[in-house]
Amino acid sequence: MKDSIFGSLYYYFASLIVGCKSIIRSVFAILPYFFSVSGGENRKEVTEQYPDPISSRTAEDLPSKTRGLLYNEIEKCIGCRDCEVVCPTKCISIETEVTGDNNKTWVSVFDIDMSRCIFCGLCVESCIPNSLVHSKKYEGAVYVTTDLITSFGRGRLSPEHRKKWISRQSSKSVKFDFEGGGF
Amino acid sequence: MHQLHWKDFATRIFESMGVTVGFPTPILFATLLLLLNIGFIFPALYFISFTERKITADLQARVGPNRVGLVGFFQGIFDTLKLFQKTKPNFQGDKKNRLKQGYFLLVIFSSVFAAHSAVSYGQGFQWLDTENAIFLSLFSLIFSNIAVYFSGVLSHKTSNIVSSGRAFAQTYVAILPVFFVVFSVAVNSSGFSWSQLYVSQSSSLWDWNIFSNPFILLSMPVYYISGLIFLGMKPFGSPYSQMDLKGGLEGQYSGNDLIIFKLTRSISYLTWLTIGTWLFFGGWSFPGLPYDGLDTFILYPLQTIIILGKTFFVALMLLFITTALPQLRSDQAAKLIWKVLIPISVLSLAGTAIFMNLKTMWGLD
Repeated sequence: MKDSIFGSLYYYFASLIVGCKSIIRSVFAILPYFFSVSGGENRKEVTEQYPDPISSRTAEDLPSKTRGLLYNEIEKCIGCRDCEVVCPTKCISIETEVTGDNNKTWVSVFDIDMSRCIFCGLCVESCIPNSLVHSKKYEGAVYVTTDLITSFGRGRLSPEHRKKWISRQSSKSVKFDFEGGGF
Repeated sequence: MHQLHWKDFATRIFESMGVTVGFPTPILFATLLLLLNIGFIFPALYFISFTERKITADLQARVGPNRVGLVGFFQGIFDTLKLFQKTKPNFQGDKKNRLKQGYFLLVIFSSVFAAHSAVSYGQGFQWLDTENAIFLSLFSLIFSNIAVYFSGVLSHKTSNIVSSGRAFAQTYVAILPVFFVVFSVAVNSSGFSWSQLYVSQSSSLWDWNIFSNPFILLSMPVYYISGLIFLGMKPFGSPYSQMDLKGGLEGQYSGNDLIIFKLTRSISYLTWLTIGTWLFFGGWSFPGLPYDGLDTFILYPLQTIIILGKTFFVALMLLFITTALPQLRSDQAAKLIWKVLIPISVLSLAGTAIFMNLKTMWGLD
């Protein structure tokens, strides 16, 4: 099919439709910014000098759209990997494990290499459960570059915990215990 | 058939001001066009550029212009005045060369304004109503691009020579689908002249070319995208970008030369969009407005306001879409033209012809 003329025609139009869809998606992504021109919370920001803690301004006074170091609230994270896919510098690495419940995934590794992050904010916009956010921390100076890798993962599941998890699934009364290695 | 309405209009305007009209007609029309530019077009272009600066700043989490005037509205005027007092740097070569560059800037300016004046902005501001008025405008824009190329070559800087070549190549690829689109609209309206385009689209909203034929609807995005490539506007503007980014064409000008160059670019964009309004959105026709029996003093400015209103609405929509897109290189733009826009425009030309034949065969007209 792919080698015939109909196949190439089909792929031509399919790629056209994909391109149009991506344009429409990008247009709708900027729609909220387009209408925030007139007012609202997003209009409050102003360009300012480096906000040092000695002056009266603190990190909390920074505007709402500040793109500081990334922070992931791991309890909310569903491990969908949208942020990993959308990241242009590939600075996010995620590993997930299957749990007993089909609707949940165990996010064992969620590492962000802040030395590669360009603070574009695409991962934050693509995050469905709003767990990944820009914090208002902006000072990331370290002595060793590897210190900039921030881990948010829950750690790998040990076989004992997996057993406990399964037993919890079978009898709902047993409470899952978070003590032990790997956490 | 081709009445020159603007002559009566101009005579009446000057008589009402107490001036006896004895000028040669080109001077009269030039004065009228100057009035149109100062009264309608320059303020509207200024407003569009201010909106663009504000929106782009908002997307990048900046404030944009906010110092001069109310919410920074007069920042553009301030920037223009600042450019006027700037002295020109000496890196552009010897004096003779700079004279040549100034000559080509004059050629760019005059050919863009020729294109601008060939377009109809209502019967009061209509210089030509012949079958080739659209092509006169398009060819003037092409000619201005040749001058852009030569001025880039004369600047004796490698980056400018390369980027002017890119701009030249981009323009000459982008003109091909435009001709197909213009021909398909001419098939649908049975003529190229402004009056014929108006007559075929005037009776109702569904007579506008964009609604009356599905293939014209298909060719409308082709016209606007190839226009953006032709003029090197925002997502395809890498050959024209500032010198510190990629070595663009705007880097060779500074001071008042830069003002003239930027003005020609926005005027040629406006010309392009106004031709688009004529081709797809019915010119000055507006459903429900009674044009018959109106005095020319009200009628002609009203037509101008309707045409420019439609044009600036399209400009705002394009601004909204192009702000969301990343910049493309000129080879990517050429690939888009050859592989997507030219096939679609050829398809729309063939489709329009078949559609019109079927309409005549089944007696739907």
